Amino acid sequence: MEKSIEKIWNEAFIDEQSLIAPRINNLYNQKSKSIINKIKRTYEFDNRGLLPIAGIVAIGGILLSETIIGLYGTILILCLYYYNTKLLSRFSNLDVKSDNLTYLKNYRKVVKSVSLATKRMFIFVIPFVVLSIFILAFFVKEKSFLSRFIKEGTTFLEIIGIGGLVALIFSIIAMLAFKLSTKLLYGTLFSKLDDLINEIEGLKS
Amino acid sequence: MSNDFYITSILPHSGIIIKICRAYTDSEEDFEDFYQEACLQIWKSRNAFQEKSKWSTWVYRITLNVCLTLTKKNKKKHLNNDHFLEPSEGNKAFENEHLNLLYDAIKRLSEVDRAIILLHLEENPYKEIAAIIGTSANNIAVRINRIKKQLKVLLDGKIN
Repeated sequence: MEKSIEKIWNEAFIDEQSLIAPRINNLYNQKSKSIINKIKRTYEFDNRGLLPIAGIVAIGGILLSETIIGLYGTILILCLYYYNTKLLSRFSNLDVKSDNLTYLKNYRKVVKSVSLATKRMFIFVIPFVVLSIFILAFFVKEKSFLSRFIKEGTTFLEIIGIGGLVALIFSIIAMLAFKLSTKLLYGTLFSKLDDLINEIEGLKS
Repeated sequence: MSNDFYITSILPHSGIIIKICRAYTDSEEDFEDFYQEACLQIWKSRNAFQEKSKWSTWVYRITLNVCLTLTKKNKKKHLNNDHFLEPSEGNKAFENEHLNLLYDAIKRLSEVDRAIILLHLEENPYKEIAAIIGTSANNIAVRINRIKKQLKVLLDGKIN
């Protein structure tokens, strides 16, 4: 190395245009924008992740000779995607003309309402969906993966019982997965958002 | 933060804030986050400044603390020290190729060593670096020697 690091450093910064500071017109607006954008991106990424899952379920259904149930599952996942997209549209309904603090507080409220709606869906809709797959398997009676578990003499009531139990287990697992994924994906972002709201409130008081 | 404060007390030192933030971040997004957080913390701590040191020293100290805290908080995956990689597109923050290589090498140092070498490159005396880092001037002299050797190894053959 012929050049000393001091020389590289000093020569480089003589006319270095990159040393122009990022524009800060309103620091909190910039900070808010950055956090809001991150939350938005994470939500959208999370929701878009359902699309390949829908594809996998459809292909898996066909490969396991479970075409009808596979397609049913795919449709349900696509419905979930649509439901989530609808939920996320709540964010765009927020009044961007309101002041920074009001906007952030409203944004936080929408975040909470989206989380609550998702939680309710896991508690009430997932068991229904799982149960409906069992009922479908009972009536379709395909010679397939799931149908193998439904014996000849199994009554509809028994299917409801078994399906209900599996649905309950699914619901609990889904709730735990939801809590864990929320903590992992959004935990830091939500606490940043809360900190920011507290900071701005602190400065105003 | 008032615009006046930013213009009079931060902007004159933005160069060092940018240089430090660049050394602790790998993306433009992180860099802007770190820069803004540093500005915010400088502003928030302005009343704690007791004029025992120069304002620029105070700015370095706050910026370094912010960078160290955010780096730990974000649990950034630092690049493996064993391999010297060509600067990635995302790391090409400057147009100067040698500077990008130097920055890449600096990013491979430990967090504290990064701070020391940046302060040294900004021509701060050992005593002042020691005051910022919280160690003795002798220790800083030894460490700078060691860091420079490390950087030389990392940069050897890359810069001619």
